[in-house]
Amino acid sequence: MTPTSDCSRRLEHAVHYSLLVGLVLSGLLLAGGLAAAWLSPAPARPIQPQALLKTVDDALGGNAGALMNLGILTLMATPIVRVIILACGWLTDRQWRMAAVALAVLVLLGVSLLLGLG
Amino acid sequence: MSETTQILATLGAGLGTGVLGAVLGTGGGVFLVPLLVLALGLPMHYAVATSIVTVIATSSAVASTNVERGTANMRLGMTLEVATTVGAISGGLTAALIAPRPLEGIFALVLVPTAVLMWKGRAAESSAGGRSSASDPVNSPPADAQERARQSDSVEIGFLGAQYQDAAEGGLVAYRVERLPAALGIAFVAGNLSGLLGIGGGVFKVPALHLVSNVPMKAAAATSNFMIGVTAVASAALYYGRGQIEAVVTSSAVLGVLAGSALGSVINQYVGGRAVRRLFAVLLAAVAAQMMYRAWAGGNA
Repeated sequence: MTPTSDCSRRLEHAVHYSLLVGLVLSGLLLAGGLAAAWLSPAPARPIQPQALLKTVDDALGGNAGALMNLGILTLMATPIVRVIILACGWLTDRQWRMAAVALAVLVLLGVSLLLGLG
Repeated sequence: MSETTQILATLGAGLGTGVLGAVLGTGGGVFLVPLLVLALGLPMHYAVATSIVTVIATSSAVASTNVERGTANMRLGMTLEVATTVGAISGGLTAALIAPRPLEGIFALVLVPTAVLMWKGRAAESSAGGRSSASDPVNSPPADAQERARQSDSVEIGFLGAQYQDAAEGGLVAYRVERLPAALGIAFVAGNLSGLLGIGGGVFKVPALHLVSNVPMKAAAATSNFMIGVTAVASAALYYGRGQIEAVVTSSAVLGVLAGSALGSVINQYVGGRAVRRLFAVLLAAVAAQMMYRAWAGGNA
């Protein structure tokens, strides 16, 4: 196995596990939030963006909306983490062209986050 | 509608969408958005936002498996993601400028070709490829699988091409990506539709990658799915920022779709024939007609 194909295998494993962990974590948060909402019903409301630390704090307190909000944010972060892993992996493997492409995607995602949440 | 009823109804909608997506080989958005709008009365923009978040979930689940199997081409996927992300951002921004009913009309217009592609099925996509020849080892018929596997060894895969093991194809399948600029253009349009309408866009991207860029169907489907998560995040952030993601509905839909996808992959072994696919193609066309009528009537329907 060549060093590059070895790197590709490692990257595939890392991406596989990052997607799986993100999915399971967000699923648990969403299920927890729904259970909390079901136990203490309140009118459904759209999520209003707020500081991440406050969301985490509220979620730790068992707030249904905050748990679901955190679950959705975790789900949204999952593909972004996957891009970061690939960018770092390709940089480490000195695959400059692919690393540059991954960084370009990250910049575009940053623009989207700025437009949406900024 | 009480919150319990809303949770159960959306879970059911997500479950049905997930099953249909797995059985029919489409993304769930084309079913979920009309269900949320027509059956549950959710405003169009909220339905699109909910669908986009479910797309992230299904993409992550499926891509996780495909990446491990080596069928998803991460280099090609990342390259095309530049175009899909730009498309998704522009689609998400455009959606904010369009009123709900005209947006329903645009969605209905996109449902029509989707229904046609679903009616024709994969056979049409493969036959439309029409490039099976000795000089094209990638698209040779399965009967020549061993010969094709032997020829794959000599394929020059280039910078974005890849190879993967496929028992059904008789071993190693290698391919070279052709006409990248055209693929980038198609990826931009698919990303734009995703951001605007909350669909994954795989129904257009997969045949295009196969026909235009010579990527084998299995790799095209896996790579398209790999891309969809990042594409969806780009526009989901815009909907999130506008406060158009409703927590209970979205959470229920995501969990329902994930459970439905898992259930659908089991059901898929027993059903999923041409008749089922065509039945839902007709259903999709009927939904398109109803959404078009609502858009045309401007809220009086």
